[in-house]
Amino acid sequence: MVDFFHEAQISLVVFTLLSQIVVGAIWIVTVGEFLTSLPAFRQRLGRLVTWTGVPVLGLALAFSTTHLGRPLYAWRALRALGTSWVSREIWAFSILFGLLCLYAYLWYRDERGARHRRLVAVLTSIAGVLGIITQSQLYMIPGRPQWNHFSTILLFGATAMMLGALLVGVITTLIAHREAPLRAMYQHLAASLLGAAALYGIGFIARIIYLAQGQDAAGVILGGAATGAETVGTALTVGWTIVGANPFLSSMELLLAVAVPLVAGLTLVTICWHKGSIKLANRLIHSTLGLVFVGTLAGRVIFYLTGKPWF
Amino acid sequence: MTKHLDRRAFLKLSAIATAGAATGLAGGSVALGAPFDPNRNHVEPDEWVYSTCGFCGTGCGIEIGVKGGEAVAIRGTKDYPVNTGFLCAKGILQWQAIMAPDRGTTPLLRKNGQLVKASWDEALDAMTGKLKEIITKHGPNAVATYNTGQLLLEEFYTLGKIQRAGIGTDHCDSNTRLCMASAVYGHNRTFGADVPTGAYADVEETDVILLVGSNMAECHPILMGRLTRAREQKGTKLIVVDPRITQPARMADIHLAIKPGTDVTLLNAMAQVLIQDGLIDQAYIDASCSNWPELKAKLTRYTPEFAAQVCGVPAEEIVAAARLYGKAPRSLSMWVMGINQSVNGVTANHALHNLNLIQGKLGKPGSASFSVTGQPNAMGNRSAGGSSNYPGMRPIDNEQGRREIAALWGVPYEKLPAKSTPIEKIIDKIIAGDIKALWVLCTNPLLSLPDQNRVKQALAKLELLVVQDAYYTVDTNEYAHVYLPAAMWAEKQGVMINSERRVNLVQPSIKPPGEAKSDFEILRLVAQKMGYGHLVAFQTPAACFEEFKQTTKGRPNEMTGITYERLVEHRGLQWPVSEAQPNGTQRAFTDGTFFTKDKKAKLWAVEQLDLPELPDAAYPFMLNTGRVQEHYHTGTKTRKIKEMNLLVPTVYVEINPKDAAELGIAYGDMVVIESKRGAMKAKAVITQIGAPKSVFVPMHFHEGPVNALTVWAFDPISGEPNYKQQAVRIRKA
Amino acid sequence: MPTQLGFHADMEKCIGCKACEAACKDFYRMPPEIRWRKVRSFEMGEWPKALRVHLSLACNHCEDPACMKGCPVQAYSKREDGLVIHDPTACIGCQYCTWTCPYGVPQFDPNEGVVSKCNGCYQLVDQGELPRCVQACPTTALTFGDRAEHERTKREAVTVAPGFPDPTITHPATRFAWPKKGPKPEVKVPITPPAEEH
Ligand SMILES: Nc1nc2c(c(=O)[nH]1)N[C@H]1C(S)=C(S)[C@@H](COP(=O)(O)OP(=O)(O)OC[C@H]3O[C@@H](n4cnc5c(=O)[nH]c(N)nc54)[C@H](O)[C@@H]3O)O[C@H]1N2
Ligand SMILES: Nc1nc2c(c(=O)[nH]1)N[C@H]1C(S)=C(S)[C@@H](COP(=O)(O)OP(=O)(O)OC[C@H]3O[C@@H](n4cnc5c(=O)[nH]c(N)nc54)[C@H](O)[C@@H]3O)O[C@H]1N2
Ligand code: SF4
Ligand code: SF4
Ligand code: SF4
Ligand code: SF4
Ligand code: SF4
Ligand SMILES: [Mo]
Repeated sequence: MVDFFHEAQISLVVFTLLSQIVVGAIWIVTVGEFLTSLPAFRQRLGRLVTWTGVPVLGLALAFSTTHLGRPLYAWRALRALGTSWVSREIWAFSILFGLLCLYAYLWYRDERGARHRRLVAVLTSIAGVLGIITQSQLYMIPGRPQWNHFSTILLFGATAMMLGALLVGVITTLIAHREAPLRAMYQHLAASLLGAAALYGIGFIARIIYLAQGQDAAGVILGGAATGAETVGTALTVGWTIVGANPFLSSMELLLAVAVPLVAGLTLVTICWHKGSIKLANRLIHSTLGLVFVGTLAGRVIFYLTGKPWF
Repeated sequence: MTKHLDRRAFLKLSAIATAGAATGLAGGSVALGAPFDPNRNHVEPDEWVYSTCGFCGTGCGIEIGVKGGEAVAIRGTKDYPVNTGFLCAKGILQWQAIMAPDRGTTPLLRKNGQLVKASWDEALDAMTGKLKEIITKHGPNAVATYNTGQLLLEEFYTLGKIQRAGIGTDHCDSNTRLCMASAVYGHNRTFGADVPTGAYADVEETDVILLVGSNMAECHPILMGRLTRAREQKGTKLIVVDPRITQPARMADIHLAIKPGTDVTLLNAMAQVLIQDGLIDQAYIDASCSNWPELKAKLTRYTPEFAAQVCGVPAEEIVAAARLYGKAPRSLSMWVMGINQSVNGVTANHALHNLNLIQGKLGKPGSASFSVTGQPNAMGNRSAGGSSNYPGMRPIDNEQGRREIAALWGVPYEKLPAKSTPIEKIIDKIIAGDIKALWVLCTNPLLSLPDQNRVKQALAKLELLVVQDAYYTVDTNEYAHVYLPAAMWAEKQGVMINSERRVNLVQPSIKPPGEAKSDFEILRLVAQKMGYGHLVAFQTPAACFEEFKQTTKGRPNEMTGITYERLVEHRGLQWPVSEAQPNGTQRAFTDGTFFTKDKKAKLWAVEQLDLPELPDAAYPFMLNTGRVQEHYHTGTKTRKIKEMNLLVPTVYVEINPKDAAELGIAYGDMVVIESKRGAMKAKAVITQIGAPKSVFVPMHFHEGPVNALTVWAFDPISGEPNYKQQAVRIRKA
Repeated sequence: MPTQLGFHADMEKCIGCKACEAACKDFYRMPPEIRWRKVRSFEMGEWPKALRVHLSLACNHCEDPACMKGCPVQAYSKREDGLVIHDPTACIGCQYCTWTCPYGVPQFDPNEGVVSKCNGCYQLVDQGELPRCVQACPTTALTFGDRAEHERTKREAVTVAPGFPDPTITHPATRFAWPKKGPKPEVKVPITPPAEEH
């Protein structure tokens, strides 16, 4: 069990997932800034999302340091911006955190600062994008061929969008009651959810295909070894075997992080379209966030597990 | 995903959970701002003590690094001729075995079924009291001793005196019975004395090396290093005879993967090819060998085709190997347990000597018929009369020899036994009730003797079992009535002798733990309590060595020219070291005369005996046993070296992939192995280095004792166990 | 071309005795689990022509060290002679280098909270001596020197070895000679699982 947690890099699972939720939520809120159709609860929503975002991202950052052998020296990791994706990631998320705090403060002020706020929103979102990019680049390295694939960035981005949209959705359910604007808003959310789930699905399948091809490339039995470039196949085979050894995790991922949001997104659209019960929609959003979170969690665990040393 | 929370996992967990507090700030020598010191954990000894390695018969020169009264490092002696500073992995790390926490620190006595702490007086009184009682009641032959190839020469000599001139029992043996007995008989019967012919320098001098039944890479790594360097520098050819593709076999120019137990046929056929091709030295045979016509007649039927059929290797390869060997100006044979541990042990030794003698390839630079020893001081036991002979290599059954010894020792000639009994007979006699007491010194018979269940039955039956060992956790202690804690080689003084007859000094570098005493001291104490004080008048190992030296005067293993100081000065001396040869003798038999009555080496016309047990339908696999480089024997020492135990953490069985596939066994699976005598479990290692339908299990692991399976069968001449071939069946656990 | 020091491992001569590994451990006294040098075992081919070969590896002192590029605290440096040195006092234990290095070279010690790796015995090298592991090798299978020199003088000095991760990733300075019998570097061979524990 202990080894499992260690190999699954539980600190990093928590850090990446939580930070991605926040990034996704900021994206949604930023888009919201420019949607004039949004109703009067925008203020409360903006406040609540950003005020949730600050502690969650703070927690994520704090948690990331538990991965370190010497957490109290974590600040030193800012030193190698020029060469290291780890440094860049930490810069990106530190800046994100700063901007998010500012953004949250601006929401707290009042509606009059909206112009500045929009600028900060855009900047925060860009920082979020950079966060996701640095975060994925960090894993897309030849040293770990199992991760060195476009699906990594796809999965990270899709996770952010999916969970972010659902988080904003859940917060919305808590504060808004008037049906008409809610329906419009839920339709936007459902669209984001469907798009993100589709991206996640593509990433998931691409990854499976990528890992599975290792065996052909290496043409060797498990744990075996080829020479030169073929060795990359060995690494993929190692990853593939781990996927095979953890069928529960992968099926959870497929079911809860792809199938469930797709179905939920479609259902949500249908509910809104047919002017169905908002209560039902609310419940749907609540449970979807829970399920998708579990699904992406399973996916993230298997992601880290596959990145085993291959030599 | 381990089920148990072991220490490492716990460390990981605590690192994850409490990383901040524990390591975030502090970090000791790696703290932020601390000077970067790549040697931050290095331990530099205060002093280095000259000594000899305590593991294998290669006999490397070592220096023991001491700091604050503890052994903290071992390094090779740079100018020692055997190893020129090199050591193998376990040689380097063996200081950990000395410092292990389970070293015996006080004697133990069995009370109410438990071994409990006792004073030396109590323990020795209990031991000697019982011994005296048994001797009075049943006579001295109710007492047996069983020792080792790992004590020091002075200790063997002292023990020999006590057991023969003191107790006077016929029942003395040592674990060299399990190891070198066949070679000893081979030497005695061919050369007239137990004299290994070669020198390690022959490895560099020779043109072709024939390695038979020797996994030199794992068992004598430093010799293998010399061999590999010689191959690189001189292109020395290598022929390996071994049923497995060992490292030497992988490198060999010719590898003959013969069917187990068919060496004699192969070697006879090789000799026959030499005769046919005229690659023999008739002048040498005529001048220096006897029994030639008989041998020649016997060999005629050993055609390559016949041997090919018996041994399961192509006839052409046999011919090629023989010609490669025969045509070389200098050629060297070396062998170890693949030859000795067999019902064919002695015959195969003869066949090897024959091969070299008929070419006159003996006693010449680069040419030798070289039996390599296993333990660091097997040769010391053989030289000092520790088990089956009298000091100065006097055969036990030779009256003149006994008279000489009686005179030297000042004891009545009649007192000295004219017999020694192989350990297997001792075990049988214990079971039969004839032997009541067994004194075990520096060996772990519960794990190392064949057919463990029989051995257990015997040990359980003893009225007195004394175990004298460095660790109180030694497996045989399970049955002991008295345990005596012994100092280890690094804590005492004396000499060891390696394969090439090189005598070297062992020196005390640290104090023994607690109340542990050197075997020399223990022996003297026992002797005094038994009333044999007059036999052990020497107070120190050095004085003992001086007395011992006198017994070698004019003998094949003369050591009168040796003093401890000279050993250090010359970096070891190869016996005989006499007035004529003050700086030792590199090669034996250089003049073509031998210690037999007619001064000729006898060519024994030998034939292969059938193996005691062959695979059949019920037990379809051939079980081979032996060693792996990371561990030593019953593991009492190497399993306490963390690095070694991490490399090979537990018992395993080598299975060919074909068989594994058939049995549905995968790498790492637990497998049950059964023979007619017992069963054990081991982890499966699927490997191509063994033939289908054969398996190999190393001997080092108490959790998987391969000797639970081995057959109770022995060489009819030497009494050495047939460890390497038996029938077993295997299945997934 | 600048000098690039590195190891040469001859799989023909290596008998897997691990004296190299023990010598390193014995001097640097890192915890037993941390193996700066690791002797790996592989098998190629089938009985009765199978080969079990050993590969003695430590840090490859790569020409393009991924460990160094990825490290967020610049704990790594590459010396003029090509040796790549890790400074544990700078390290924060993020373990990123255990991912970026394809060779499993940097190893994390949870007790110290930092990684560590072979430093090429640079202090000895500066005194004109060979690294300890090389000095300890009884077969001369393991040697050390300028990579270019290895390529000029050794029986064989190729960049690939069984299972040894794609050398184009970091351009390791280690060079290999394959066993004389059996497959050659350019031949694709089926290799059974590494028999680390034999
Ligand atoms: N690491 C390590 N080194 C040691 C020891 C140790 O325990 N560990 N012990 C020391 C001691 S006391 C000894 S005696 C030596 C033993 O040294 P070795 O005799 O070299 O070692 P073993 O593994 O017992 O067996 C040697 C080889 O004999 C082969 N063999 C089996 N059956 C036959 C056969 O019928 N014919 C032939 N030709 N070969 C066969 C086996 O396949 C094996 O490869 O090692 C010494 N060195
Ligand atoms: N199946 C199978 N069985 C075999 C073999 C095989 O190849 N296959 N090989 C056989 C061979 S060749 C041999 S040599 C034997 C070896 O078999 P053993 O002699 O039983 O093996 P060791 O483990 O070396 O036992 C030596 C004991 O002495 C202790 N000791 C160490 N130093 C000292 C000391 O200074 N004083 C005292 N009093 N005790 C000390 C050690 O702790 C250990 O318990 O095994 C034989 N058994
Ligand atoms: S080869 Fe034998 S004598 Fe030499 S260091 Fe290794 S175990 Fe000791
Ligand atoms: S082998 Fe690994 S640790 Fe060593 S220099 Fe190359 S990338 Fe860095
Ligand atoms: S573990 Fe240490 S050396 Fe490795 S990348 Fe992180 S900070 Fe750098
Ligand atoms: S070069 Fe030095 S530090 Fe590196 S493996 Fe060899 S002995 Fe160890
Ligand atoms: S010391 Fe030499 S022969 Fe032994 S394992 Fe290391 S490289 Fe191979
Ligand atoms: Mo032995």
